[in-house]
Amino acid sequence: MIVRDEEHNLPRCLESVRDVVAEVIVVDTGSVDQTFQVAEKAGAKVLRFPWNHNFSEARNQALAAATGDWILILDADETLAPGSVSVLRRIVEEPAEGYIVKIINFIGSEGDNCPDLVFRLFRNRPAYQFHGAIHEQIMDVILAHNQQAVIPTAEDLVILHHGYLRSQIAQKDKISRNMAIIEHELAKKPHNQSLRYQYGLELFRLGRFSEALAEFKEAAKGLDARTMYFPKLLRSTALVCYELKDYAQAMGVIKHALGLFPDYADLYYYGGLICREQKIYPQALDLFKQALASPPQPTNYASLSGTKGYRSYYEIGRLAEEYGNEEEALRYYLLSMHDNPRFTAAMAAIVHVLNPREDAEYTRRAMEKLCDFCTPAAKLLIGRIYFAEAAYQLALDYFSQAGEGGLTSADLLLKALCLIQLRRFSEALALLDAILPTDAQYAAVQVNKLFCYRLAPDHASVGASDSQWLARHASADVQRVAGLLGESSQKTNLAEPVFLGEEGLALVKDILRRALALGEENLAEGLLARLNQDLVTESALEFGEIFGVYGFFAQAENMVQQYLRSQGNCPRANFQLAEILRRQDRLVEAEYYYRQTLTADPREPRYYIKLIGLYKRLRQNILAEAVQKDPGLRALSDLFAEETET
Amino acid sequence: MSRPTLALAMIVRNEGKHLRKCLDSVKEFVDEMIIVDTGSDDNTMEIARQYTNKVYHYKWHNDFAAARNYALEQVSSEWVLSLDADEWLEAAPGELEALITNERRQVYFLPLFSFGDSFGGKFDQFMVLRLFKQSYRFKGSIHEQIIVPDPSRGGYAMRPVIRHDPVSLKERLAKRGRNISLLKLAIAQEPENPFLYYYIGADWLGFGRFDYAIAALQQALKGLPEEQVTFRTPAIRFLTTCYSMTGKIAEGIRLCRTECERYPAYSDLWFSGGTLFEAMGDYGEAMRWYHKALEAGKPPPGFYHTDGTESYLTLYHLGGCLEALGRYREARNCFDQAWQANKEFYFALIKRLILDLTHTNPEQVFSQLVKEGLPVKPETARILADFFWDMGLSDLACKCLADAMPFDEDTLRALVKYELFSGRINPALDKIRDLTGKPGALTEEMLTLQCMALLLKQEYRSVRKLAYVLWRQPERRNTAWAMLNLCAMMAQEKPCGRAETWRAKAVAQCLTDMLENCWRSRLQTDGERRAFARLSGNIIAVLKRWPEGIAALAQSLREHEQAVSRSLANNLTVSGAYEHETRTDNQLMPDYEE
Repeated sequence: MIVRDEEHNLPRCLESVRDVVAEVIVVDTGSVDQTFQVAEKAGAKVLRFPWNHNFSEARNQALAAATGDWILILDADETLAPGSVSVLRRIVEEPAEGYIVKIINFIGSEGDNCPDLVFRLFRNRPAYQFHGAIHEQIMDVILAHNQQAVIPTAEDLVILHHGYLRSQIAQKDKISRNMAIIEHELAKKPHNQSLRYQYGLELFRLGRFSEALAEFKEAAKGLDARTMYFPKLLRSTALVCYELKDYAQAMGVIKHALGLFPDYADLYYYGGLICREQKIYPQALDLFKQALASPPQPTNYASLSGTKGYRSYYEIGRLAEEYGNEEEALRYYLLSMHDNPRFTAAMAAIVHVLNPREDAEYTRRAMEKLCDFCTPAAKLLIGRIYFAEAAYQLALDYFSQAGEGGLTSADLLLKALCLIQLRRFSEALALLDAILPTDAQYAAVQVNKLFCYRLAPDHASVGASDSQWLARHASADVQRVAGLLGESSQKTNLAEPVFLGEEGLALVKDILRRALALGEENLAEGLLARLNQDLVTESALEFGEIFGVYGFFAQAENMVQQYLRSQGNCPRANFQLAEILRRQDRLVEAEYYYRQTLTADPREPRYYIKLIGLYKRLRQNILAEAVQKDPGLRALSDLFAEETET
Repeated sequence: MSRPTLALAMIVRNEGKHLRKCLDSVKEFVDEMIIVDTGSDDNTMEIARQYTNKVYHYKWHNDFAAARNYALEQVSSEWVLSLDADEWLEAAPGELEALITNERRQVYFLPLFSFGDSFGGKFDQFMVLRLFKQSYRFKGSIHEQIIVPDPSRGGYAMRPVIRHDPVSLKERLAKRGRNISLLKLAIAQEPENPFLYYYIGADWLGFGRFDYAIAALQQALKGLPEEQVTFRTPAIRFLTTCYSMTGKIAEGIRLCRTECERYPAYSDLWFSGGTLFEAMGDYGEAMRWYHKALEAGKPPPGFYHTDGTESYLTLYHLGGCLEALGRYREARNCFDQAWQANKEFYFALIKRLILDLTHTNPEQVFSQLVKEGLPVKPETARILADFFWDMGLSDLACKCLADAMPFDEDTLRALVKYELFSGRINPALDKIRDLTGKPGALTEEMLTLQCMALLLKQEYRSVRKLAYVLWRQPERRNTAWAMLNLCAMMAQEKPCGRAETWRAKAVAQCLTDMLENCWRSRLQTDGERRAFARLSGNIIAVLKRWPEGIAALAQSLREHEQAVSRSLANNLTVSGAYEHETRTDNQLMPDYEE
């Protein structure tokens, strides 16, 4: 193996092969950490190699030092899967020159993965040398030397790759290093399609989508459809078009690719996402269902985990919600969670449908039945989900059950916020005080302390915000929001209107939401009155939505009207207004806005469903009133009875 | 060399209504006009004499050929043009001359366009033998034909064309009834003559007696030789119509299959086959046939041809199939192509607009229409305006009519409605005032709209005055009652009370109609929205006062609910099965753009 600065990963890797390899050769290409020492301590033969931008040369040095009959190549961020040791022992007894083996790339914390095939195991012969500066190859060399060489695929020999989990910054570094090497290689071999594909992938990872697309197209030109990476290349091409929002082209690629690989679940899944994005819901549904019905995926498809399972179930659930069918949605979310219990999106969706803000106890019981929240991690997870749904008591319960020990400062902050929402201010302030100025959450801590004092002025006399820190270290937006919260209410008439950036607005929306949850409409309105009014108008729709959620209909209506006056006919605002009017039972007025919403955006099923529901409710109200007034009216009673049945 | 002389020869009876148009259309092109009357009792003879002095009387004895041949006897020119009185010629100077100076030809088939709706197209095209040397004679007591001993002397001309007025159903049936009895007699005498079977089949089809028509047309097809396309092709088309009308789809398809092999370039047949598969719900196969129809192009001369089967009509049906398969974008393109191919075939435009409106917001759809150049013809503008109104887009309905002046009175009334419900209350009232002087112009609907406009403006005294005027006209008392009650309710005076039982239903109808219109409103300002919400709220309040009102209201709301459910089903739950073609190679890596 070749390594650099891998002191953290290396022990895990070496441990996984300890019982199966006769010797470990580690070539260090210039570590500045303890890698060298760690490797030596584990009993490896360690060599230094001055880095020269060529992976093959480094690898060949390692090969030169090897004395065994077989070579197994691993990277430091990989391990040999536990069950593979015996497989390895068995297959090196076979008359093969090398093996293509399975690698499982982990790409998320929820067990998401992407299996693929790689060539990592071969006989140690002097002629077998790596070539290519990046994505160093050796299989072609072996085949060139020995045309009869047998190279079977051993899918039961599994390497686990944890590398995609490393931090974003480290990733970026690695990508730009790779890019430089590939560019160098491409200058020498401009027609190498595989290299173009690799280059496109790196561009894709960097978010340079148009360039990536051009590379992918170049790489696919005239390529033999049996090429091992061809299916992946097509998937990447579709995805890059998707990122570029060129949906027509993305679907074109998917269609073309499915013609060649009709069993490729990822293509259906991504096709579904693309259709969904364009609001072509029936076709999206069909595609997700086809993804679910796909057969087991050949390993060279590098199929993303869950495309023929929990991911597609989840998407179908979301589609069902679009059509107002919550029962169906729940059914699919449950299937999704069943398929992968660690898939948080499904759990969050289930909680959302159960509506814990208004139906806390029922939600708690339902969720407890569904999952075991027995580990602290699981308790924190559900706690965060409940917090996001503004179910503060539930969230607090789970944060408390999780125990103090494992809580990060972010979780501590959430717990404190729950306490504020339950008006347990002293406890909240105590928790907030425990977070140190060096912590990333400190700005939020200060803002929320001020929020606390505003809600409970008594506490201000004993505690204080860290005004020094705020003045020195906080961003301008945080300072302004802190200023707004700290103002005494008498002076406000004279003060200048406050302008805020994105960060400040997000803070204000958060405060607004929680103030209204506490029924503190004066505080909320006072805060908005102090803002620059153009700024308020711009965000009036969101402010209106927040007022609406907590039943402050007059303010909500004003806000949305203000937005409509400035923005013209916007379906989302019309819809919001209709919702606000409907919830006040002003059905005739609501009818107008629902109707306009539907006309302006005919691709949203819920707009139809709301309008249908409105006509139904209006009719039921009228009939109920009539029957109540004059129960003797047979015809109307019959109509009403029929009504309540259906 | 001087050109050959040409005569118009015709037989007429009671054609006073049509004759002038016919004679006017040919008088410049012929040297003489021979008109043989077979017993008119209207002003036919009188009109004829204004054009020519060669008007003859011939005693009718149930034999068309004899009558026509009598007319031919009177001709002194070298060539004859034969027309019926309800036809007229559409010719440019020199067109007829060019035909008759060709020495190789002795007879010509000319295209006859008859306006019809038999296949959804705008008109059907037959080829008919109507221009021939004077020496030819007619044969056959009914559907008399010119007998051509040497077919090589006959030619097909594309111009000039003969046009045929749409005939009223009653007239047509009367004529057909007469024909059928004559044809039955003729068949008894000549049981082997396929032409007679053809004619009687066509007549039975016209009567809607499909089973008789099928038997006759099958007989005709058996007897007619393959080259006789002028008769065989309409016979086939009529027969497919009969099959599809009687649900004998399989027979229809079998016929189309056999005949398409015989005439592969005949777009009409591919089209007919396509419609049969479409009727069966086999859209894939239907589309294959429609594509063949498009490939075939316009059929050769002599083939009975429905205009558009080679283009817009087929494209329109193709769009329908794609739509049924949930392939909206392609469907939309087909409808658009159909519309571009024939700017009078606005069905295609309407279908395109419906698809557009279910995919994007109406403003965008409309501005696209404007970009293409809104159809400026007043008739089309009206069609579009009505369409937008039906789609609940009163403001766009107004815009369609904005530039289409001048209007007829009916369009003006439509505009009043569209304006009122897009919040242009004063312009609507002004137009009603303009109409006031004209007798009959203020329909009940206009008066209702006028009241509504005044109610929206809270001019209750004017509403009451208007309602009293209505009350004086007994047939408008229900409307008057509704207005007075509504007005009282809105002005917060004492309501007039419950409608009398015998009036209750009609008043409820009047009020729910008003409410339905309010529920199409598309308004600009908050003030308008409030005014309309207030009006609708009060209409509901009045309706709630008696059981018939409540029942009508409940019914109307249920209909709205169902309408929205239907559009949800149509727009968003079509089973959009995703399909792709299987490939084995990567030869044609497309550039992916759709």
